[in-house]
Amino acid sequence: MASTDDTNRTADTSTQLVVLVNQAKDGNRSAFARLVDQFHSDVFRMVYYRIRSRSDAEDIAQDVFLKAFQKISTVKDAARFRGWLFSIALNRIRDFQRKKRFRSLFKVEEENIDSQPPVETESDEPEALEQVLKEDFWRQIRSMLDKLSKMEREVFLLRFFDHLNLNEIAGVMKKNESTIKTHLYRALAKFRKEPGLRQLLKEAIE
Amino acid sequence: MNLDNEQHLDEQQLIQAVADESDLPRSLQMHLGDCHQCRSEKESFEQEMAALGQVAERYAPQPQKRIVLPVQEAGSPRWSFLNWRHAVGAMAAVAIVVVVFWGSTTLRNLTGLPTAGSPSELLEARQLMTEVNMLVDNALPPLYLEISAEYKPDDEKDFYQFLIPQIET
Repeated sequence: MASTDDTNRTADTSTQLVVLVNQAKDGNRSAFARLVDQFHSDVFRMVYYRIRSRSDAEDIAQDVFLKAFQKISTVKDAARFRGWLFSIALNRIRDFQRKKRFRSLFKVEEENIDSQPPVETESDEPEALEQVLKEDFWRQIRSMLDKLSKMEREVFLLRFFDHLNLNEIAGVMKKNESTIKTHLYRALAKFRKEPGLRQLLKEAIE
Repeated sequence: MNLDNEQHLDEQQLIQAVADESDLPRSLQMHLGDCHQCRSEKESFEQEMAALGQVAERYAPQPQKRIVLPVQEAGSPRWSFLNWRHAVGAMAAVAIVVVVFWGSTTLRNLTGLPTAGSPSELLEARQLMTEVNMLVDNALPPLYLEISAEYKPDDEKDFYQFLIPQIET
């Protein structure tokens, strides 16, 4: 019974999304604003996972929605709006990283900043322990991701951090599903060789 | 069903099952369905991966800035960089057409081909071309040619006669 309710709820959400996207495509500004409310956190986090800077992630998220606003009429499948947003975000992240690499050729200081732990300190963090755990988690994630190839890393992030299914990942990365599966398999095999991170996750589950 | 004798999923097959269970051979899929040990190993791995996403979400900051949308309607045409490029392309195309048309007209005038115009203009153009052709043959006026002994029609006749004598019958 609960499963049926879940299925109905998912179908309703999907239908609502399609309606909102179609309204936005017709020029309805408030429909687009509702889509922004719905996906802002997802897009922000997706960017943050890759560049680990809150302010840059906020700027890129703003760019992503601006681009989406201008190009909403080109959305072919309204049900895949989230994946469409993510593909815009992925392009923006690539641009950002390219510019960052170019700037780092001329500025030695920026390289030094990159080599520092990526986690930003938040003054309003309630407990120091939580902050330590957070820093440890991101350090281990960074260390694990550094061992993956570019493609493996992206597929792994899209699958387990951004919760996209294989079909959606294939759409976002413009690759076929079997290629995605191969990279996912390799990434998972490398993840299994990370006892520290796995222990941390087991503790989180318990 | 007795599963004791059956082979359990190895590490690689377990990873494959988490990546996409449908990619496993049919026999392994059936085994996974029946074997409690393999199923719980797979579920434990999947829980680990789900926890990874949850912890990442918990440890990621929240956005503080709100998204600001432009004033115009969503999806409405806009003077974007792309449109600007189209406009420049169109202007360049027009410029090329003008240059090609102008160039071909000028060339036609220089070669002396008659163009549409009044009869007096045509006559004037024909005289001009005659003068030009004469200048091409002999750039110096006849007086100078005589002084420089370059232009002697009778000598030329004798010279040609010498080269190719006429056969007298």
